[in-house]
Amino acid sequence: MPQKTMRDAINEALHQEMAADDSVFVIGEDVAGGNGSDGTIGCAGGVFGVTSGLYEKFGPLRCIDTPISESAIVGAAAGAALVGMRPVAEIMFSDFIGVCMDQIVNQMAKFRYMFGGKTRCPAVIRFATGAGFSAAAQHSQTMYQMMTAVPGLKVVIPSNAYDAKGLLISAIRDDDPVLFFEPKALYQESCEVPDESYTIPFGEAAMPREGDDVTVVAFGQMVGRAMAAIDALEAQGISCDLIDPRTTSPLDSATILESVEATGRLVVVDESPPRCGLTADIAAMAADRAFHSLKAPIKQVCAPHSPVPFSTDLEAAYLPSAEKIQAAIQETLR
Amino acid sequence: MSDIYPIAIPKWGIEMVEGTINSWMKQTGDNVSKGDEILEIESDKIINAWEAPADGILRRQLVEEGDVRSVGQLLGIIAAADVDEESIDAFIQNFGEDKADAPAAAAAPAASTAVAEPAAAISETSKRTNPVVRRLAEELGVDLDTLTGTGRNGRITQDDVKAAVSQSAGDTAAVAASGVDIEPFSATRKTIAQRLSKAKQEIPHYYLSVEWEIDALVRQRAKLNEAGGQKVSLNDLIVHCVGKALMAEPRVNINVIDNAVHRFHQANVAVAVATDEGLFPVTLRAVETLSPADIAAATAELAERARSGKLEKSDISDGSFTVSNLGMYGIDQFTAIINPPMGAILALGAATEKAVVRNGEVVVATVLNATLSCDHRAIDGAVGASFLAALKKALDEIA
Repeated sequence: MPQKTMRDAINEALHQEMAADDSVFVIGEDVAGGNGSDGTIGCAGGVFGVTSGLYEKFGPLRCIDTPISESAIVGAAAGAALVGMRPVAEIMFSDFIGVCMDQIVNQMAKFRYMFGGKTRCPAVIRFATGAGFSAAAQHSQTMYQMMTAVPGLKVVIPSNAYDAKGLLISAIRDDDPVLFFEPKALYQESCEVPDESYTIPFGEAAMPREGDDVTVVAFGQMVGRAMAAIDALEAQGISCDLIDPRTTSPLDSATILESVEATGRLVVVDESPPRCGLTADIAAMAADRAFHSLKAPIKQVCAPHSPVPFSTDLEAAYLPSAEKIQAAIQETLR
Repeated sequence: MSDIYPIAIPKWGIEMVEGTINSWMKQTGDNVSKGDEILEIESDKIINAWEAPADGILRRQLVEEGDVRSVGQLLGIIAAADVDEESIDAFIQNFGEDKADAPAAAAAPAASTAVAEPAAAISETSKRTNPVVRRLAEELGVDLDTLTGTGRNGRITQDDVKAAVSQSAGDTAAVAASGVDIEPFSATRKTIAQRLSKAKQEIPHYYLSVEWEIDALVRQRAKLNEAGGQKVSLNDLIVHCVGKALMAEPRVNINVIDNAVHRFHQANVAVAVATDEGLFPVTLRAVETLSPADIAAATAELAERARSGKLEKSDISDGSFTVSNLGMYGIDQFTAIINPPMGAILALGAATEKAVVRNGEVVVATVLNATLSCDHRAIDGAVGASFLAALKKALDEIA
C-alpha cells in the first residue's frame, strides 16, 4: 500500500469526493492560491497546500477563494448546505473560530433542531489545529474541546493520514455539520493510505495499542506521543490499551469504559489546557460510570492553563511529551 | 402457536451445510405477506431470498447481517399480531431443543427466562473483548466465540482476530509495507477454496490424456456457422458430443456422494464460466437432447447470469459431468480438479495445427489435447477410457 502524508491523504479525499459528487465544493481563504505563491491563482492550494490541485481540476466555481472573513465563509457554507450543497469550508487556523462562532454555534448547529428536523446542514469546516509550530498563542490552540461541548456539531480529530482520509470522506457524506480538526504538526507524517475511496464511521474509536495494565485515551497529535510512551514502557513489562476516539462528538464511550473495566487504570492525554477540556470530560465519565473498576486515581496529562507560548523551548515544555505520558502511566501503577 | 412461523436456514442443494445472512429486507415489526422476500441468504456460490410462508408480522430477528448459521438453525420468527411474546419465547426454546446440533439454548440450566438468553450470550463475549475488537471481528467475519484471547483473563485482542483470519501471524501492516496487499477471501472465494482443497485431497484422481485430430470437426463448425443463426463454438460442438458419449457410457455420468454412486439418466454438463469473482460451473441440463446451437445459446445465457450475479441454485446444481476449456487462453493441455460431487471432468486445450504422421507420411492436422480426470473410487480406468472412445466416436460422427 502506498505511503502518504496526512496532507496528501486529505487532498486525495477532497479530490475523490469532488469528482464523485457535483454538490461538493471547497471555500476559504487562499484555497486556490496561498502562502508563498507567486500570485498566480491556483498555484499553491492553501497555506498548508492541502487544497492544491482542486482549482485546476474543478475550476473557480468549486474551489472558491474568499476575502478574509471567516463569518462570511462559514455563513456561505451553511447557506449552501441548507439548499442541498455539500460545502467543505476551510478556516486556516482553528483559533479563528472566534470570528465565526455565531455562524457555527448559533446557526449551523441549530438548524436541524430548530426546524424540527425538516432541514439538514451537511457542511464540513476544516481547520488546521494545535501547537508545535511555534505559531504562537493565536495560531496554536486546539478549540476542538470547546466545539465538542456544542450539541448539533460533529467533531473529528484524526491522528494519522489513513484515518484523516476515511474520516473526511465520512464527514463530507454526513448530513450534519462536521468540524474537522487537522493537527497541523501531523501534516507531514505519513502512513499507508489506500488509493481508493473509503469511509471510517463516526463514533468508532481505534485502538492502536492493546494491553492489560492501563487504559490510555489520547486525541489527535497526542496519539503518536502516547504510542511512543507505551512502546517505551513495554520493556518494563507494562502493557496498555491505547484508545484514539477519532471523533469526540459522537464519542465511543463504550470502548473507553470497557477498556477501563478490564484494566482498572486510566490516563487521558490531550494538548489542550485542562479546564473544561476533553481529559476532564473522559475522566468524569470513567469516575461516574466505571468507578468500581478503578484501581488507581485517573491521571490527566494536558497543557497548563496558559496560552500557547511562542518560544520553541517553552512550547515544547507546554505540550504533553512522551515522557510526561509515561510518568503518568507509571503513577497509576504505583 | 400454530400461527408462529420459524425462519430457518433452508437446505438449498445437497451439499449446503451453512448460510451467511446477507441482508434483512424486512425489520422487526414490519408486516409481511406470504411470498414477501424477508432476508437474503448466501450459500455456496449463490444468494437467494427467503420468502415468507404466510402473512404476519416479522416479530423477531435472531441473527445479524453477516452472521453464519448452519442449515436448520433459527434466524427469526414471523407471527400474527395476536400471538403474545411468551408464546414466541416458548417456540424459540422448543425450536432449539428439537435440534441436536444447536445446544446453546437448550443446554443452559437457567432456561426460566427465555428472553434473557441472547443478552446473556452477548455480555459473556463482551467480557473478553471490547467494541473495537468486536467491530474488527464482524468486518473480517471472525466468530469471537471460537477464539482464545491472548490478553489477561483471556481477553481477545485485535491481533487475535487478525491471526484467526490469516495464520501467517505477520501483522497486515508489516507485510503490506514490503509491497504485498492482503485481501481476505470473499465468502464465494472461501467456498471455492474449501471445495477444491477437499476435492484434491480426498478424491483419488487419475488422468487419461488423448490427442484428437479434429479437422473434420472444424470444417463442420464452419459449415454450421455459414448457415447463419446462433454462432457455434468448437466447445459447443464438443459439449454436444459429450452429451452423446455420456449416454453411451453412463458409468461416467455420475455423482459420488457418501460412498454411493448416483447415476444420472440425462447428461447435465457443467461448463466453467469465468467471472471476476471466480469460475462458476453452470449446468447445461439434458445436453443429449440439445443441438450445438441450443448449447451455444444456453451457455451464453448462463454466462451472462453468472457475470451479473443473478445465478439461481438450479443454474449451478445437479451437474453430472464437467467440461473445462482453457483453449481460448492458448493452453495446450492441462489436468483439472474434479468438481464434487461429480465423478469426472474433461479438460480441453487449444486446437492447434501440428505435424502428424498419417500412413507413414508427415501431414498437417488440427489437433486438440483432452485430459479426463476421474474419481477412481467410482470410475475404473477402463471405464474412463471407454468414455473417451465413445466421445471420439461422437466427434467423428458429427463431423
